[in-house]
Amino acid sequence: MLTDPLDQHLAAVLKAARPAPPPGWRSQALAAMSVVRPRRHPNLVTIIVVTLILLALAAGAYAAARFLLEGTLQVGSAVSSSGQAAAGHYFEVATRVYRDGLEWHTVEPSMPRYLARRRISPDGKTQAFDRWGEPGVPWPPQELDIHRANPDGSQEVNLTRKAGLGGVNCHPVWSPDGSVIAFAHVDLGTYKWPCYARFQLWLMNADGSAARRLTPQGSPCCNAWGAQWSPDGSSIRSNWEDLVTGMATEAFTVDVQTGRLQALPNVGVSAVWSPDGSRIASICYEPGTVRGKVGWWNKLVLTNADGSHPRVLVQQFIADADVVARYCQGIGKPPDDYDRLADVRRYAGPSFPAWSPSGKQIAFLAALPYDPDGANYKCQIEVWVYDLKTDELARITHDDLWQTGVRWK
Amino acid sequence: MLDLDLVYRLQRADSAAYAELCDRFGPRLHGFAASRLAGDGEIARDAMVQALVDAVRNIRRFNPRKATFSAWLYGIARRQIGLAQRRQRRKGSVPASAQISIHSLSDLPASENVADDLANRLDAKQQVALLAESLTALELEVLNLHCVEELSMKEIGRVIGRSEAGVESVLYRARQKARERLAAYAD
Repeated sequence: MLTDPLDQHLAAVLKAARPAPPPGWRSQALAAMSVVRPRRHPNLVTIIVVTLILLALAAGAYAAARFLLEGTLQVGSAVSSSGQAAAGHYFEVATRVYRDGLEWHTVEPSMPRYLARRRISPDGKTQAFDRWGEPGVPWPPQELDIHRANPDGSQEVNLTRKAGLGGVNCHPVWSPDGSVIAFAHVDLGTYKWPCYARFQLWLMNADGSAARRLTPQGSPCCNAWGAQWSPDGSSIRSNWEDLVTGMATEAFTVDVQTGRLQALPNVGVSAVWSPDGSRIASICYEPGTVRGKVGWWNKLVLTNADGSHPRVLVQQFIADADVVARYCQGIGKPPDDYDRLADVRRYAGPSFPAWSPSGKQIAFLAALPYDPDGANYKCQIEVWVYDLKTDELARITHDDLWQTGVRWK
Repeated sequence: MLDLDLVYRLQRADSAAYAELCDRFGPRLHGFAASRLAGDGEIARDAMVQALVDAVRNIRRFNPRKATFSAWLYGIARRQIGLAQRRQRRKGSVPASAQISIHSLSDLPASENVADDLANRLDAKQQVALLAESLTALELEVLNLHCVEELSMKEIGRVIGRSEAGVESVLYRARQKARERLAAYAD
């Protein structure tokens, strides 16, 4: 109730100035209201509960789909972890394994029982592989040639013979556009087993023509394993090799056009370019001592494409004594071969990284930590995935097989 | 009590309650909208109808512990008026404050003395136009809610989103300005 005269006057003026509703307003309002029903509004508790359920479902779905979204991991599980085969001859009993993208497999029963290492061309229409001649003849000193064939093995062509190259030619790698094949080559005269050969990187066209040496004269020995084209096809990355131990050492790139070499500091072995070519993941080895045990650190290292800004993603210390013990438990006798010990050491820590297609995750192999009193005497090697976005590490395989390689499909 | 009874029936989608809501609040909401929209009857009607529809749709959200039904309803109407004003601006029409609302005099109520009514309303509209020149839109709105709708300070605060003290402050300024302006008009 207004008591102030000013308020009363204002009320009268304001009321008088107001227009009456236009004709028909009531029927219009009732018609509009008649089609409306009061909404049921959920209370706060219901909203919170439903939100939590949806979040839980989304988190579960995300966790389950993470690897499916990234791609499928294809894991080679070739030999049992019983020992002998795992110690260095695994490829002789392998049926189908994948190693750093390189597929090892036994040939069809109708073919001679030799091993072939094949690489499918980027378009999937052909394959290149190296093959040495007769079964039962040890390698070396046989000549090794690079062949090309359809995926089913038909229409096989000996590319290096066609190119007039003798000696040992191995580890073919397709360029990203499939027009050129890089491979390791050494003349038989410079190859002296069990010492290591002076391999060099060579290129030839996919049809075997225009074979030429890529690494310049006077270069150190190239590690025949693991040469990799850059995603844009402009250069090839590989490692030099220690002629005494046969182990890969410093990493380098070589320009495909000019043959110019460039060292890659902080990049180790099994290096792989990220899909966009901006980063490199590799395995670095570093001697060290932990709790009085002498051994090696195996590190999964991420760097920029030029080797700058190294970042250790995963590291694992492998004591030499544990390597020997593990080896002895595996094969039941003391080690007699440096190579085999080194192989065990190499597999025990992170090894053979493989980028997911999106470049967000890196899969790699690593053995479970050695436990002399536990059940891990088998030294089983499992597949792990490191998520670069969340820095989470996930173990993918949980089986009793010696995983010998991993790649994304 | 009547409001709560109406609310109870509206929540059950009682068509009689819809009609009662329309009859009791329709003209008041229309008047309130017209005062904000400078007498643009069509737009004010649309805003009023939409406010009633929104009120029915969201009647279950009305909480009598937080506001009276009138304050809640005027709050809805205020949002609809704001939307209508934004639509007007987007269309590039003449600002509501600059509109001459003489045309709205055609909806005169039945009266025996049409000439007197017309003179009174014209005079009232001139006074309101003078007030609109001096007062801000918020001050004019608070005056309307206080003097015409007779809402309490607390209810007005609920409608315009201000504290009770804030409303009193706005109302004090509005009355000061109105007093000066109307005195000048009388002279």
